[in-house]
Amino acid sequence: MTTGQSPDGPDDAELLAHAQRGDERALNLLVRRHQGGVYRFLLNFLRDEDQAADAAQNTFLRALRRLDGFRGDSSFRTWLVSIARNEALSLSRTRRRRREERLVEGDLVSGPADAPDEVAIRSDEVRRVQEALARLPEKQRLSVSLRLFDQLSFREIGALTNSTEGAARVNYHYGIGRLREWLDEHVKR
Amino acid sequence: MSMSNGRGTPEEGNGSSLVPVPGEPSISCAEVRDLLPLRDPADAGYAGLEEHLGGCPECAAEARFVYWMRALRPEPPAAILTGVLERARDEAAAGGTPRWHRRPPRALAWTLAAAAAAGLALGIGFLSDRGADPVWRIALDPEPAIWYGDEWVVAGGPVPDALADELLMALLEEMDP
Repeated sequence: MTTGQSPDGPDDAELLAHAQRGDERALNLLVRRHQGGVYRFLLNFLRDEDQAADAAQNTFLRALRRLDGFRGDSSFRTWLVSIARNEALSLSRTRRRRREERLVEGDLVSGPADAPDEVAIRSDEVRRVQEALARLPEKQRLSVSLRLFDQLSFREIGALTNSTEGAARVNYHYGIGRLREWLDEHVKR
Repeated sequence: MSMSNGRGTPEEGNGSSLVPVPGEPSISCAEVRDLLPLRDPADAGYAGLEEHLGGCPECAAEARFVYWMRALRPEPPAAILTGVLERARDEAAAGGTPRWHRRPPRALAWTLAAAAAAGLALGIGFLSDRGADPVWRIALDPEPAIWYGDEWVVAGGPVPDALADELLMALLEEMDP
């Protein structure tokens, strides 16, 4: 089984086995280890901090329930992010339907997905980086985030974005290039 | 400035391949830029990369940008961990054992499997000319997996992870009343 291993702790497979038996300490460690990657993926997919945090919780609980579906042919992290992706797709669909309902009712149509400015922010720089990322096409945005923030291989990124390894590499480099142009122009570093 | 050596990109994450070998050309700009996000500046295994950055202003500028971006990565809120643990505790309290650890009764599992097999046998003739349609193509998958609902196993069906975006969206649209 290909799972992540921390130099100062048990590997994912061991933690999963304990968490499945109801060991809260193992679950705690497992969530701590992977919550950053799952959350950032969801944030870049949904572009809304609150929804990303909720979806991250759902992702972990769903993963525990369907642990038998983990075949070990990808890393646990990749498997977890693929569950997050399905969670995000489902949320996006619900969100789109709600927007359509509001449109039918004559409401103002303005959701977080179309409003990068509304992404909650911790600082001005983080906000500007998130804004810049939100301007990229989805595959470039996810490729940059997964590579830069979570050090995934291009092969893993390709699998998660329904692309080839080569396309993931190209998306990353295009994305980084466009971010540099935009941020060099708008942010003093 | 290009320092390409025509070797293509090195194996990712294998920092040892970047240790300069006497007589070997330096690593290329493309290799360096592929590896920058993976680089720990304190990692001695990236000595070849250091050498390249020292002589290539373009790559050095990209390195500064990548490290600046990386320092601004969004961190997960504490609510994720507390929420997962709380919900797991609730599920355990409600069911005596963690919900994720429970299995459907064996009789129910056999009934579901038998019903799915019977339905497949009856429907196969009807479905045989539907192979071109993406939704029916999923339904006719020769290796049906288990479809997981929020609570538990629902029926035979595709694993959403294995579906391409377009296919998944087509399936969801089809199911939408």
